[in-house]
Amino acid sequence: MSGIEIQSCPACAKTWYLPRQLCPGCGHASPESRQASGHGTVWSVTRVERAPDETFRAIAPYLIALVDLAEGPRVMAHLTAPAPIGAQVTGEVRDIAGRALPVFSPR
Amino acid sequence: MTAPASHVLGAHVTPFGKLEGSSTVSLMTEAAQGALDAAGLQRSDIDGLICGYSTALPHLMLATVFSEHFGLRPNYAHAIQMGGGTGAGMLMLGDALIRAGEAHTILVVGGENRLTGMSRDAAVQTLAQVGHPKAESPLGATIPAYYALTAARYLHETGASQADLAELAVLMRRLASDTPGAQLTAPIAVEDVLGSKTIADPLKLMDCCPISDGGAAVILSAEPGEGPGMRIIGAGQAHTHQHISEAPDDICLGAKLASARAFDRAGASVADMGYLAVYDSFTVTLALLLEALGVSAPGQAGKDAAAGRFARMGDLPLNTHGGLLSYGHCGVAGAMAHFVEAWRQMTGRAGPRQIAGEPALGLYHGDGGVLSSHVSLILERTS
Repeated sequence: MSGIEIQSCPACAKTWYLPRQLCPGCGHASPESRQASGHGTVWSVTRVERAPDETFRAIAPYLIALVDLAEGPRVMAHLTAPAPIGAQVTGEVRDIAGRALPVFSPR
Repeated sequence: MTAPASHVLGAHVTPFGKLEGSSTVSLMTEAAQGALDAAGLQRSDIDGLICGYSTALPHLMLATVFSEHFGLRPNYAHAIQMGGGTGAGMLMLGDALIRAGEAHTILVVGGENRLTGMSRDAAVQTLAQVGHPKAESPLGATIPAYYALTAARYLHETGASQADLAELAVLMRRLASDTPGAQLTAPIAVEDVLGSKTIADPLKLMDCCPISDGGAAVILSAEPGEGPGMRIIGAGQAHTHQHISEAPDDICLGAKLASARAFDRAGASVADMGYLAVYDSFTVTLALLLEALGVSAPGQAGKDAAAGRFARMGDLPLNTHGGLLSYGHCGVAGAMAHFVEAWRQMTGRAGPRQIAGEPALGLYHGDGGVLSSHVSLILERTS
């Protein structure tokens, strides 16, 4: 399992990533949670050279991407290696700088 | 009887940059007094006050803090928060309050010692709150990183180049070079932008606005003042998302929606505009906004700048004070500076920097977050 949690609505089938207690589409009060497959496509990507704090200065530069999951939602994640927009990537939750974060690699 | 409208009676922007010894309240005071002087008004003439926020002075009641300090007794006063869209949102609110008859003469004021009042890391981390606290900020993402993601996508979709984006930074610097009070005035070329340090690829240091100290203020009134004036004839907002993770694929959609509302109320279109005041936190912000507003074709904003279209003597002058990219960015007042400059240019008050034409109409647009919150105002020269 990827460890990347997504939510979906049993009433209207909308699927999303940022956690909520209701469906942002139809308002249904009991969304379901599940793990994403971890397959996705790079929507955009940047290499961060100016890190915000000491924790991330230690690993800079690093790649941050917006990845469109096969299930639909867009997820912000680290990339382990450069991958252009449109590239297929696979990811899971892993330890980066002491935090459990979504991390993807080119397929 | 004509419909109620809000008229700009006076406006002022302080110098931006490293202003040692300044504070949020001192900069708001300097800006407010300058606007009163420009309008020929006294503090007792003000019956409404609208403030923004200050990251250097977080407070529950900034409007009353300032009101007490400056010696105002308004009938209406509070602060609002819309990130980079705050300045535009404050002016839109002032216009709405005047048209509704809630106040007659409103002081709209912002100021912050963002540069000297906090460390650069603290400023970067405070601003990163724009990101999601669990799904974005913990990744080591920053505001420049969010905008870099929009920039990479913009370049991919439009075929524009980093050099095209750089043209917008070059233009803002050229305009700032003879603007009194501008923070960055040394001329730069496209190669300088491309050769500057990478912050978050594809954005270089010179694609990013500086952090500044500064203040700005505008006085809106139900009655026009003496001589050449300007009034707000249209306004619109749109809020499509907060976090870039949930932004629409058409990432600058909010600018299209907000400006459509503003143009509709004004009975005007983008083709009627003779002056532009557009938020420019990064070069890509300006490119995306100019294209979403219908000013430039997709991918063409930088090329339009390079061709001289937005120059002081061009067909459609843009941010003639130098914008956030070179006049500077101190938060709320940073975006208000665009409005102050629009008022000066559209009413013939810009002195040796005066644009050639006498535009009847202008467009002011601000955005907050990551192209999240949008406010458009349509400005009309009067008399």
